[in-house]
Amino acid sequence: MAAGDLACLEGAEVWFGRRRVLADVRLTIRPGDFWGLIGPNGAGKSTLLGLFNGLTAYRSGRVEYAGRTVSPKSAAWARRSIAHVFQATDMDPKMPLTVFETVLAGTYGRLGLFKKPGKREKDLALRSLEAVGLAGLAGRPVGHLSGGERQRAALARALAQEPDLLLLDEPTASLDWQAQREILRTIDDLRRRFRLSVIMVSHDLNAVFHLAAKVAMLKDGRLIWSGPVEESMDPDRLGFLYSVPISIVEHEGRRLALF
Amino acid sequence: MPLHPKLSISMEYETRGFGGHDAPAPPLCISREGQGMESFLSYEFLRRALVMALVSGGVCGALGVFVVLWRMSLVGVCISHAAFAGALLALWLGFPPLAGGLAAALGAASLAGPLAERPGFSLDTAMGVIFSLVMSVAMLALGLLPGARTEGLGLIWGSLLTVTDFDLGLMGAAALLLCLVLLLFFKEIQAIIGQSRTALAAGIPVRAIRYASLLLLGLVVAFALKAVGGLLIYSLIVTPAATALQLTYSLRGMFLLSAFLGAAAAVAGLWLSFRFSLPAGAAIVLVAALVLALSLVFSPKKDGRRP
Repeated sequence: MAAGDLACLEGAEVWFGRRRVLADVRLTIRPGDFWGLIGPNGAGKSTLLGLFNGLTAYRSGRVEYAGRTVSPKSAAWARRSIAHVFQATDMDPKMPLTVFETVLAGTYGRLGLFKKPGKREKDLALRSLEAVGLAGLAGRPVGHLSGGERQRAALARALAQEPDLLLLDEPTASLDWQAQREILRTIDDLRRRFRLSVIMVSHDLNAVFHLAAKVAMLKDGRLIWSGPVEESMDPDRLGFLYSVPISIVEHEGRRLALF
Repeated sequence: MPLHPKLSISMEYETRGFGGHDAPAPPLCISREGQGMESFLSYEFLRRALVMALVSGGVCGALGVFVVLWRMSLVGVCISHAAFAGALLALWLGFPPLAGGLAAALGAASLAGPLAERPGFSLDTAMGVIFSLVMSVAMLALGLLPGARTEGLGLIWGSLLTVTDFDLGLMGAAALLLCLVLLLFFKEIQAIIGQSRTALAAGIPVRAIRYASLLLLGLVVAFALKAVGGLLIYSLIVTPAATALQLTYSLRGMFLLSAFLGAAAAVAGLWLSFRFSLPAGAAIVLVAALVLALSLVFSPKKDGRRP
């Protein structure tokens, strides 16, 4: 890992039982990077995300974050400054938890055990809610939110964590077009305002092309290509990645992927 | 107090509560003569039963919040029945049933945690298998018990009236421990419910807190087993919490309400059993279930309405 790098994977290899899920993955994250991580279902994208905060156990290779080695056994320190937003799941509408409480919970990792959240944490939670445009819903039970609102609440919770690195696992999955657009705009806005480094897993190629500066392609547990976003828009390589023909078209100055 | 409670206990006493036409005479005279609250409280073993009902109802109710919100219903069923089987097995082997129940409950609780975490493993199926296994052990031990099996059968129905000061002390200690855990780790519990993966990824000790709550559940089940009974204790854990979930959007409120509902159901059930000569355990469960049914009908949270 070179000086100034935020995180890197050096030949990380992950096994689930007898199945090799990730093989020899090498990736370097610089501060301020926005990586789009793409590839077919089951390629190991979510598993790769989990390497950075020690949610994924690896058998060989090395994972470093902020100059230190990360492993599932010693990751608590890394988890405090890495926010991980998972794919949205359904929540019981009766869950006794308000939007504000769930966002405030984002501060609890840094706060540590046996300490009560004070004014600083509450302000942070409120500002995070404002940043994602949910301030008006602070008192609402979190189970009552729509899919898009829930995803924004998850982003606010991540933001309240004051992270250096933001891991996004399919942030726009199962959202309608308007909600997708709003979430993407919010991500872009937050990244700029809070100088976050982001790794985003997505199946939405056009969202990746639009937001990310760098793209990594994962297929069958191997990183088959990584580089700047402009060079990633190659129909042959994308076609190989997803095993379907993909064409790239230009529309009003934007390059878009079609299948 | 005319009789030592130990002496007055018989099989009929356990299953029929205070009355029943063909029940043996001694304990039944107590309830027939005076049925007011003063007479209820004038017997020391009844007073002890009342305190035990109050405390174990409250503790089980509060613990139920974990079970309901973390969707560990089946885990809870398995722990309580493991305690039941352990107590019966201990009884057969000549050990104190409390020790057997405690060992089995804590054993089941520490097995359930890691099982629940294994990827690609169906907790549902595992708990189904463990449940039937544990019940067969219980039945086996019950079948092997020599003699009248009074104490063994008592573990099925529970007998609030045989509660000793020692039992009360244990339950009181468990109640204090639960309060301490809730006070110290409330913020972590709040961070975990409904979003345990996010909390884990943010550096909150999810596993430690989950295991602690499971062990606490095992402890309480073992301590309450003798009083409430192996078949009924689980209802006292899950029903008040399920009721409280219908009534509030505040986690703090849910813990308090669930503890209150558990204690209230236990006391009301005990009183009903005294007044109408019903088995105490069944009366408690029916009261708790009735309150749940009412709360489902009148829940302010129905249709996503705000309270």
